[in-house]
Amino acid sequence: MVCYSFNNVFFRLAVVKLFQVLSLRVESFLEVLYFFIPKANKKTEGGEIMPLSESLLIALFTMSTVFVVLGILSVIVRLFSLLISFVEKRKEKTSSINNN
Amino acid sequence: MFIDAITKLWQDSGFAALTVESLIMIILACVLIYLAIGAKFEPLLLLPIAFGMLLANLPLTGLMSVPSNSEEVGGLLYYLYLGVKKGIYPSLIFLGIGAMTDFGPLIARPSSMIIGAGAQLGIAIAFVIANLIGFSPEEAASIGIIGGADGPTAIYLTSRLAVDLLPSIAIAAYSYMALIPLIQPPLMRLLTTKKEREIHMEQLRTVSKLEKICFPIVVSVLCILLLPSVAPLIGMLMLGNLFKESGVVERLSDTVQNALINIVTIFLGVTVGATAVGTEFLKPKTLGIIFLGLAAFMFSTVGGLLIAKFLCWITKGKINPLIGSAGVSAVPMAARVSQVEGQKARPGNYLLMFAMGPNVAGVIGSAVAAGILLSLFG
Repeated sequence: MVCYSFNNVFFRLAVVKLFQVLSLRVESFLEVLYFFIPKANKKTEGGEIMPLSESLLIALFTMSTVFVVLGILSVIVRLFSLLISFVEKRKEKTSSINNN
Repeated sequence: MFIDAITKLWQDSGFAALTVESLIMIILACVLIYLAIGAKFEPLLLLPIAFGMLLANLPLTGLMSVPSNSEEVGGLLYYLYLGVKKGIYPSLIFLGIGAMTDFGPLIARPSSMIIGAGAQLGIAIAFVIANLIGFSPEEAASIGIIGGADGPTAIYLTSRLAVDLLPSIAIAAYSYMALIPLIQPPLMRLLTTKKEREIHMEQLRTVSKLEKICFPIVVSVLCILLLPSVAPLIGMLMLGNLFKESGVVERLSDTVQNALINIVTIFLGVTVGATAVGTEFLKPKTLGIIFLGLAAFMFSTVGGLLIAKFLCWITKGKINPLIGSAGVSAVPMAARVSQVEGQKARPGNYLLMFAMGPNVAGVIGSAVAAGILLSLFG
């Protein structure tokens, strides 16, 4: 039976990876990918071909990361727009009060 | 004596050194020159590429010769090519594109980002197929990026991952971008119903100047923090846009969107073309790249359309799915195709501004995809 204590090397590594993922850097996501598919990190020489399963996983990973990054971007842009319009309205309100 | 002199002159001339491969490449260069001038297929880039190809395949010119030591002088195009090899030109082109792009439609409707992400589907599919038919992962990634429909990004990634494939990938990417009005409409009609194509979209809200100024800063910070490898592309794109939107550096904005981008386009085109030497270019691999590039392009269009259809369904018919095909980043040609198809379905239906949102999101999306592939295989 696998003991999930912090002394377990595998578990400790998994926790470290989890924290890296939480740090929201895509390179950390890649580390996780390499952790599960070590071959994905292997530099190919002399036209080495990647197995279908791995290339599918990398394609899936690429697409999902593009979606995540652009999704986050769209949310942040929306939030900024709201914040800016709020600030601008408040500014207008203040200036109209001052004029009056 | 006279005969010897004539023979020597002949042997020293380029005619004697002409090979079948170089002859084929010279003919191919002439065809490309015709396409650029006669058919106006992306002439701004295709013409320098084709002429670079012509120059490089004329024997004994030494234009691309590499100096063997620090004392020796290399060929002119060899030095200019360093800008491609080191990834300088694509970034400078992005600087100019940024200064020419209006992100207003994207800021007004940020959900367009999702369409821009969906339109990168071709990159993933072409990557898998390329791997399947025997390309190495680095080559497959470079081929896949053709699906992003973004010339500078394709050149940037290929120069880093599979420099040998640079000429064929650059030519395929720019050729398909020129063929957008032929490739996309059949897919658009196939994947949308007449009712969907007739959807009239509500006017976009006005975007304030402050929003437009904040946008490049926010996108740069977020994208580069998430994916540092995209800094040369996204950073330059957003710097160019900040020049334009700030309104305080008009001279710089004018320079990057005119003089600088034109100069860099000449250097990029000629040197990329000059790498297409017959012995390297005329290989079965090139045919594979051309086929895969087309597949990537088509799947990207399909991806964008499917996401736009999904958004149409979610919003209960407020989004016309035709804007989905504009998610491939060929700015502004893909958006124009959406506009034309929209008008064909319903005269007076103006989709251009709505399609510009996914269109510019596609530029960011393909740069992000390139950054991921670069992090994986670079």
